[in-house]
Amino acid sequence: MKSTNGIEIGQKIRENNRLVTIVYITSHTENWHEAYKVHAFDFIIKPFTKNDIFSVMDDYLAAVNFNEKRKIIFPTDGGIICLNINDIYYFMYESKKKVYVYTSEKKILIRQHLMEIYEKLDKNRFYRSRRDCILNLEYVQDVIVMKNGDLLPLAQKKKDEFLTILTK
Amino acid sequence: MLSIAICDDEKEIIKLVNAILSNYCEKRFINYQIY
Repeated sequence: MKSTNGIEIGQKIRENNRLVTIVYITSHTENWHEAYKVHAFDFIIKPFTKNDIFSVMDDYLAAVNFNEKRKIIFPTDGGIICLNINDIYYFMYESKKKVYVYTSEKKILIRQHLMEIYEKLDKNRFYRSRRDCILNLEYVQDVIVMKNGDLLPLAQKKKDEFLTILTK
Repeated sequence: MLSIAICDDEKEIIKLVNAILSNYCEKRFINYQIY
């Protein structure tokens, strides 16, 4: 999108709606200051990658607390279960290809690979601390101590990365 | 439901962004609509 046209469109949108989120994809970085007038949420610079857009989407969903209201479904032996994101403490791969989800109240066996589970989670909220573990960062009290007292593994090579994320 | 409108004068950009956003929403099981 040409930045002048994009700004004009942004201004027209703002005349009718002050709440809608606007993200610009542009190669005209010299006009950024004009985009602030329409309160753009973010800018993606051309040429862009899939990860650039994914990253902006992650930031947006985190900013509007989209995930707070979200529920996720998982296949289990007894059918499908639906869990609120807020209820999930962590996922753990255990023996014999079993993946369990731990909530504040219970431990449930789910029939899905850990990688597939990780794919559908918000990466700002969930962290893969080791190959066999995905934890909810909201509930980490110490480096590897969860709010409910459970101790979780952390791969040695991920320690620095994890501390950085935790202190964001 | 997440509603997304893509606006650009290059059709290829619209197609590309549409595909990436669809992929994002489907991976995260988000209900979405793209215009």
